[in-house]
Amino acid sequence: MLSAMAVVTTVTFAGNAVAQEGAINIGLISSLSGPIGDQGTEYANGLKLAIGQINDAGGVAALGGRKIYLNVADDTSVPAISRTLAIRLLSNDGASLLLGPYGSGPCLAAGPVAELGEHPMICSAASDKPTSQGYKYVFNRATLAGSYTEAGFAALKELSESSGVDLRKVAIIYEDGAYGTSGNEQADSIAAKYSITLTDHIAFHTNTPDLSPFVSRAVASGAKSILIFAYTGDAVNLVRAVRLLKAPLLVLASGATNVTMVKLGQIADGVVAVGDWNDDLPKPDVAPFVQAYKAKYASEPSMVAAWGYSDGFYVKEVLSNTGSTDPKALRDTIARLKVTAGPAVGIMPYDSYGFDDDGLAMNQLGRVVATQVQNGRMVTIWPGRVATAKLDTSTLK
Amino acid sequence: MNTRQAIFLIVATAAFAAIPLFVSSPFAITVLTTIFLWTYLSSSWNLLGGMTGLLSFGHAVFLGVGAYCSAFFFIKFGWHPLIGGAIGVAASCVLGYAIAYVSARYNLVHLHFALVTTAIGQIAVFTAMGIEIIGGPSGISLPIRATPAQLFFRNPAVYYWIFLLMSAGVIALTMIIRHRRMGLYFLCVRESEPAALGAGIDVVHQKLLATVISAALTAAGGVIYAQFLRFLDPDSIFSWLVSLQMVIPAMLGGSYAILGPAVGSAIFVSLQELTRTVVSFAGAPLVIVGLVLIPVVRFMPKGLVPSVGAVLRRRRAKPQRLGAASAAVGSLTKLPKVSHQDAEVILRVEGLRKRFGGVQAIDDVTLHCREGERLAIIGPNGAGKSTLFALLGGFIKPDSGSIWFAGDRIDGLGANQVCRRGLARTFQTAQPFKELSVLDNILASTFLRAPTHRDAVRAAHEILELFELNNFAPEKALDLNIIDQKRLELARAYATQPRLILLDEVGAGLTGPELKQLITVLASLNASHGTTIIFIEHIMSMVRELAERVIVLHHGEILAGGSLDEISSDPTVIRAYLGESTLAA
Amino acid sequence: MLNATLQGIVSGALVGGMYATVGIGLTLIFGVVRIVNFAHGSFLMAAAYCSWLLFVHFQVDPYLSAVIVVPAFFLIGVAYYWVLMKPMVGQSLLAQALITIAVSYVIENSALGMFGSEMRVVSMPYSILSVSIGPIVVPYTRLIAGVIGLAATTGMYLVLWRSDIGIAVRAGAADQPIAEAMGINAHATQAFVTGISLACAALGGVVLLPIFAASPQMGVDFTLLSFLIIVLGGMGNFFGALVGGIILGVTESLGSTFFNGSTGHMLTFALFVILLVLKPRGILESRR
Repeated sequence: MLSAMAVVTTVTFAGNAVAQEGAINIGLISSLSGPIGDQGTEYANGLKLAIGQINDAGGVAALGGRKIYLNVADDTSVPAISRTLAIRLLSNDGASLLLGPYGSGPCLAAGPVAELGEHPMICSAASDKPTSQGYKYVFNRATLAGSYTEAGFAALKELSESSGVDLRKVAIIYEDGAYGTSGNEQADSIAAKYSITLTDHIAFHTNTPDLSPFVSRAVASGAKSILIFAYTGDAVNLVRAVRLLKAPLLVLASGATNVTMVKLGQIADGVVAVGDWNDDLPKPDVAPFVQAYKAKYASEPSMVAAWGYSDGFYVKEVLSNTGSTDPKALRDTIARLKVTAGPAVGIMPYDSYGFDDDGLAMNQLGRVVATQVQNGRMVTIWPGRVATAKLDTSTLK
Repeated sequence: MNTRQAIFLIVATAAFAAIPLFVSSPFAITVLTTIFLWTYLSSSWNLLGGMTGLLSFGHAVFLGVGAYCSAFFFIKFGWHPLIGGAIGVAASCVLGYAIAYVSARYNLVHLHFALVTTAIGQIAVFTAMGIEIIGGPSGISLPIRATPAQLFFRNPAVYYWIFLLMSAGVIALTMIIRHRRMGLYFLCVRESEPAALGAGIDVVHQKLLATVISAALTAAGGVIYAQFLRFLDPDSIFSWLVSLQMVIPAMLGGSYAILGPAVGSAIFVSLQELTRTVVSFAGAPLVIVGLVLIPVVRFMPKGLVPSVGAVLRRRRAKPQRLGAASAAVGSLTKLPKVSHQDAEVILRVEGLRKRFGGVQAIDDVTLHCREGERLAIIGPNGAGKSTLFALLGGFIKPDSGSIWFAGDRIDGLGANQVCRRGLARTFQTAQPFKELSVLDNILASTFLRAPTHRDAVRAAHEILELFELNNFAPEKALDLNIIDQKRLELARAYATQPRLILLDEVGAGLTGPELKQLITVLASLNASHGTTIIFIEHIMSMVRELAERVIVLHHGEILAGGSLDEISSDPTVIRAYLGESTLAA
Repeated sequence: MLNATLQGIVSGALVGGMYATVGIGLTLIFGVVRIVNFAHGSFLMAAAYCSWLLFVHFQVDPYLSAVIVVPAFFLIGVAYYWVLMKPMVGQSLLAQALITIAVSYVIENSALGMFGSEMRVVSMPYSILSVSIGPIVVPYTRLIAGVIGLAATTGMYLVLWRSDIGIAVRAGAADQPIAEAMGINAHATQAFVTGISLACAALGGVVLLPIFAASPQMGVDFTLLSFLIIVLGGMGNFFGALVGGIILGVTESLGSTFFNGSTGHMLTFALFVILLVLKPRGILESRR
């Protein structure tokens, strides 16, 4: 028992004084698995890149050039750990603001800590649960699964009109966890608005070896497109199943399935994905970001990396606007601020970054773009104002 | 629970309770709270796993049921969390009872029980994912607008105190149980089910009891856990990893020790938090736990606490074995052999049959035995003698035929019920409760008849006296040598105050003087207490000395019966024994 | 409907052949070494990652990588026996279970740290090619899995039942002291068997990688799956494991066809419980 006490006291003091002298302490709870782009590392990378650039350029000018220090902790997506980490980062390590965690579960577990501790927390969750608890300090920067659903429908409607192929009979194939269920839930109520007919709702469990029965069911229901909510590996298997069965379906995937999908080679051609970002967006800050990311991390940035990068600059704006690191003041800034300049929106398909009264990121639909894999590259095909290519229907024969 | 333990517990609890007064870091308090949370849960698990030996790898089911019920009824109907919690606890009891009942009824071995409980845990995960009203895979969230009366506390120290008190409570409960009959019975079930049955313990009942208590406690833990965490989803509360988190601390600290789970939990939680703080490699905490667990299990398979205890035990000098017969027994030497031919028939067997696969082990055996008689059963190896005893004792069921004891039909009864009626049995290879002390071994038997705890203890000491095992009272049964173990075996059977005792080759392996001593003890027990003795023996001198009547068994059939002289001149008997190596005479 | 059912059965049986190989690994180690190895699935996962790494860095075809990976894991198995299993023989169930669970923690969480929790796929040109038998579509990857599974099972049967080594192994399992008295080195044979056991797991990981995706969590799933197989077939029963694997593959496949994902899994575990309770010696147990 005595030894236990000794260990605990060590733990108590282990976490103290981690921050550097004078730096602005920002905490990041990253997740290595989660509904939104299982690339917690990518988010952290994008964020670190942004913070590095900010610090190199002289820190936060409005706060006397102070640099930002990012304190990263990993919760492996276990809600109980997210909670403990939130406590540690906020009270032990003195972070002014928290970024993350990923996933509804971790968000909901860490939320009360931020709320009771009166420190702002900007998490990423696929559902609207974290922002419907009535919290003042919890913000969700992600695009909800439901938003992807709606955007997907909108895209299908417009793409049907512009390409002449009617894609509006949709079967939803979703993984039966929190993410997939979330996306599926909204579908029925939104479908009519875009003249979409939902032919089937098909649930599967992650890492099932044979996904072809699910694809067959979709075909049998008369669908022309399938909207899938799945983690990368399953998405890949679904695409493979579609090709194996030679099913004439348009695959509409959501989330960050881009990079791995492209690596599939020819079988991935024709797959459409709805996400928040692509590297061919016609905005001036995109190319420099991609270059800087590749230089530092030796790989292409994904959508989630772009989020991290954008958030880094968003946080800088918040700090500058607030003029201090007082958590309450920071929170008030976040609640009202709309960032319209700088790389925060410069690399994104939208021009305004802010949060609504519930704490959910604004302009949910307006953030979404649809991309398609064409000849081994992901090109943006929707909405019209940022599209660089047209929908290729050749794989639907 | 004795006073020393009580004082220790109170002092320790008070000391830990004082910590929040000096430490203000919420993080440290959270870590300590987590330690006591898992101390509580692990100790609750250990009541079943450590005390009865039933390893449940699905205990998270109870945790989850308690947590979800409490949360669900609060959110949906506004009922106080404790009301929903009570429902959860009740549901867990029912579930635990069902699991234990099915396991006992179908005689699941420990491995199968572990696998079944694992599967049940997985079923719980998937079931919870499919139930919409509790949130499905997204889970449910408890509002933070709740009040302290609704068990929501803004001050993290309060949860710390709650879990601390709960831990102290369950440890105290374990201590109390351990000192009473229930605890001893649990341990007996763990050590040896046949021996427990032979001591008259209703093993099935004990398993049910232990499972239900453990389930209820775990569910109660879940209720508070839900209030603490304020978010539940199927994966984080029903999964196998959570179940393992209740088992590992018990293993680390030692599942045989009452404080084992507490020590284990402290190490388990601290290791993870420390690693998580210092190292940013994902998964590092559990890697470290694994790396620590491997050598602990490898070199200290009983856990930290008992291993330390074992070292201390070995240092104590072993008491000397007694040599010649002491006065107590010696005074009961050569008693006249009373004939019991006119006594009542106490045991009657008719047409008994038992088949194992292709072997007819017992073939139409009919015999009787009178009260107070000393009957020997002899026969070549493989004749079916031990099988006969197993049938008589209720350890196996006959295919056909009947067994009557003291006028009542007993075939079909369980071994513990047979024991209750007054028919006791010793095993060919001594089957004591190895990890228990000699005193406890005998106590397990005396509890059967004694009306109070004190009477049982007194009776146990008397038995110790009678069989000259006083010096060994505190020793573990497994530390005894063969001869003393046999004596213990006999003492245990005798302690159930049987009217008839079945002795299976008690003389085997004894030297001349030891054999004489044994015969004297048996003869005196028979003479002074009137205990009927039926004994299987290969040692003819013992048969000659002790038996009034002899029955010969061969290939499951009774070959002959009568006095030793009669049957030794019986031609069928001689033929059966021809070619067999006659053992020591 | 009939088509879907047939498709499900064929697909399932092929994968089931591979499941059986994995399950046989576990039944071997349980029947011969008498240890419950809860890390079985983790080794499968580790092998899958090795195969994936070879693919990503050296462009080695996943099936070819078996040539390197499987023997490597055989050696790891032998070492695993000498270092960890040998001292645990005869120890309590709790001790055995927990030491192997600890090993699985180390392997899984190391994978998590090194590779992240993202599911890793390998994609070959033939990943979407298939052979058609009437209305049934059989993807190459599954066909290969089925063939390799059958070959491995047959090979092991021949080695363990017909050869001298095999007899030695089974003698050692049946009665160690006697076997040793007859000159059989029980420890060597048990190490050999452990090596085979892990090699089975590794083969499973490599062959199933093109069909599944590799993730750190797959270890636990496969451990439970292996236990289910040996329960179905009877612990220590070789042929039973084969039957069990196929039944499992088919059940899984048909479950996907007719039910939603979770329900299928739940039914699998419910089946597991029922079988363990009613037929602990496996469904092939003959009435006494």
